[in-house]
Amino acid sequence: MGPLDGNAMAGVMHDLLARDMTTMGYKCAGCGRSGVMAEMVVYMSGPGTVGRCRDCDTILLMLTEGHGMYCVDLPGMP
Amino acid sequence: MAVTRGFVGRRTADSSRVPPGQYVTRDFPVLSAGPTPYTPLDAWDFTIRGGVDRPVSWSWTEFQALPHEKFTVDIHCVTKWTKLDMAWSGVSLDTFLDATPTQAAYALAFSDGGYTTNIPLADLRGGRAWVVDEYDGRPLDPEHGGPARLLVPHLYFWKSAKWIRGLDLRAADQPGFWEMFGYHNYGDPWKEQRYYGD
Amino acid sequence: MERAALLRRLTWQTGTVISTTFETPRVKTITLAVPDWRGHRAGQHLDVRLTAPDGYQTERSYSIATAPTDEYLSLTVERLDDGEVSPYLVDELRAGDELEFRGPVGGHFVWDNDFGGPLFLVAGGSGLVPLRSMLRYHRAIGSRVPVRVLCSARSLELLIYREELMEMATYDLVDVSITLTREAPSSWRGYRGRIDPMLLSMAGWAADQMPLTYICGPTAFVETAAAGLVALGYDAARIRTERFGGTGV
Repeated sequence: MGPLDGNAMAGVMHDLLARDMTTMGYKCAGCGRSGVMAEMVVYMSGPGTVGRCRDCDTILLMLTEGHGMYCVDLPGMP
Repeated sequence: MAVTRGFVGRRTADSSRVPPGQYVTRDFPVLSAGPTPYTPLDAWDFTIRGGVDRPVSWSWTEFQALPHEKFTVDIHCVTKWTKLDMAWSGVSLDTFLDATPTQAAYALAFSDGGYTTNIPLADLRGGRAWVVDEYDGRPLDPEHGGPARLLVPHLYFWKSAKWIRGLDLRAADQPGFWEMFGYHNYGDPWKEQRYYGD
Repeated sequence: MERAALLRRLTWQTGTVISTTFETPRVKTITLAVPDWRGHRAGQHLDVRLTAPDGYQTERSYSIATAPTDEYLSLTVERLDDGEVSPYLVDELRAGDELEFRGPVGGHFVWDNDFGGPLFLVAGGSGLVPLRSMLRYHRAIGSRVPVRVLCSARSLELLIYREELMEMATYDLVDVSITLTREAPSSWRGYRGRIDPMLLSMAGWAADQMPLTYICGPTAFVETAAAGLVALGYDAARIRTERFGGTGV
């Protein structure tokens, strides 16, 4: 499966953070692009989910789940 | 938990070759955490660095000249698929490590695109790990890690780093890309070591 | 590195399947009755979760096909041969079954009447589903925003909501263009071939009219359409996109 976009994470993120995250703004630590989370390039076919900047591929978001425990990290958002 | 009527899910095969919690697939699913890099072969090398006297690199041409082995193994992915009898060709890690004496106990494999994964060096020795450049008789497809990927079939497949460029040898273990985010440090499929603490 | 265990805040609900209808041989609309449905916005989706007897669970997202103003809630699902959820939904699910879901979710790919216009909706294959929700809503609330729709399908037979689109096209404010990429009847008077800047410029609005654009389809389709519109001078900030892992168009 090829990459999708941040819309595909709307459900799980809403579940975890109790609000819609697709409209949340971000500024990429790699290239300075600003946008909303829905525009991220999202890779969901691996062990976890990785969201990257559409312009420079910097990782903005990592999401993994094991035994019902979620781990969220936003490494590319200053 | 409400069972969905008529949904059978993935059938677990209880073969002695299929680890617990896995199901057998005929496809070769593509797993990606980022865009597929396309490194020109003349810019590619495989480097062993870190806990060695000095880094040693093999160019693509030098790598091609190393003795290749053809072998068939079963692959187990943490996303629960197992694919049986996958035919590869590649160079045993012993060939590289014999040329780079070290006191290090761990390796952090690194790849084009920034991916890393950690493996005890002992697991890369003894004819159990390869750098492969051919699958099913053809050059390894970029989406499956070509031009070359690491292959450590006795561990979950995320340890078999796609687009491999080298090993960073270390005295101490350092978690890689998925290991930092809750995946198991070692990843033995027969012990179902999927997540931290398993 | 910060690692947090988080409470789950959006709960799974159960709906009952009222009916299932084929749109094309591989695409089905599933209509659900949901007690206490809290409503949705045009363009939102649901996450559907299936549970096997051995406890195995898997979930996928599907766009809501109906408007917030419609009486029922429907999803339209394209069957992907290598899929895990869509073959079940298209082949097996039937009226009377219960279906677990969470949502509606997604606040980005939604349309409301006060977002300004004119509106340009670009659909690749079953990417038409959330745009159909917008079109139905547009009609139901009597919006005065002019709309142009461009649908790309492999053939007329594989175009979903075919009759409804024809009916919508009779509405003064809605202009529907269709391009067929694989085969077209000899009498076909619509567009042929894949979308490109030329086709987008003919079917869409002039950039200086400041259109608001929604593009939905498989990833490659969306990239092509979005890049084409930006090349035509469309304001990237007025283009909203949603990509899914469907078959090509």
